Amino acid sequence: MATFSTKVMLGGSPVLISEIASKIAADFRNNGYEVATDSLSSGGCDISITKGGAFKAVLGMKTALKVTLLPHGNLISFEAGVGIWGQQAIPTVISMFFFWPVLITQIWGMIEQSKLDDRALEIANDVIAQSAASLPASSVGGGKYCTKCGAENSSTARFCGSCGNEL
Amino acid sequence: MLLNEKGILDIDSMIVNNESYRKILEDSIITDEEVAAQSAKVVSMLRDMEAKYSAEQLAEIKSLLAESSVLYAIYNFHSLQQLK
Repeated sequence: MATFSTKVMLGGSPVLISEIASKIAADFRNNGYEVATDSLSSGGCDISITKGGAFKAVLGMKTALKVTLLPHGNLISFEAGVGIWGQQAIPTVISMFFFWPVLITQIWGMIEQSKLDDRALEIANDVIAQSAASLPASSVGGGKYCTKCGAENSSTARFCGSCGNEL
Repeated sequence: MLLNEKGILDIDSMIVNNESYRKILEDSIITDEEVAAQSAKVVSMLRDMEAKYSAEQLAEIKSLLAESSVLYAIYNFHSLQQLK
């Protein structure tokens, strides 16, 4: 896990991005979080998740757990980090704020503590697993994708041939 | 208090309730003069502190400024690294 974000490659088709985003949004809403989703021109999706407590306002703007799903070849790039609520140009301005690095690491610590990033990742993996289970066996490829760098490896590989990550 | 009950730096309320910030952002436009005046205000506050505080207290303030600046600098370097 990185210091203040979780980045992984998911071995699912990018066509699942909107379904994953809806499931993440619905799950967090059911748990009392305020959720906003924004479609990106790249075919990806940005999800902002916030609620009082862990998330602070900075200069009047709400901070949020930002989950970004992006198509990456035949894979989905999943990134969870701390950002500002909704799609605003503000993040670039806020990153110029002197104490933003202190706040971002503090809020990220609370997110990790409450495992909110893990929860979003778990939902994404569930959607991908369900989708794979519904496909006929002949249509499922035999290779394994590295969750760190996205490289395809043989189905028997234990470590990624590209970056060495354990598969 | 600097940190709130959850141990989070309560910078938001410090800023939004700050007289300088409110005055400068009143018309939503930040002028060259306002930036220069705010910069002069910070320098003037540091001068006042130098006259008022002991060497030990000044060393603590200096240390906080240095450590915060290091964090700010490495955070920005780190962000630039991600772009590569």
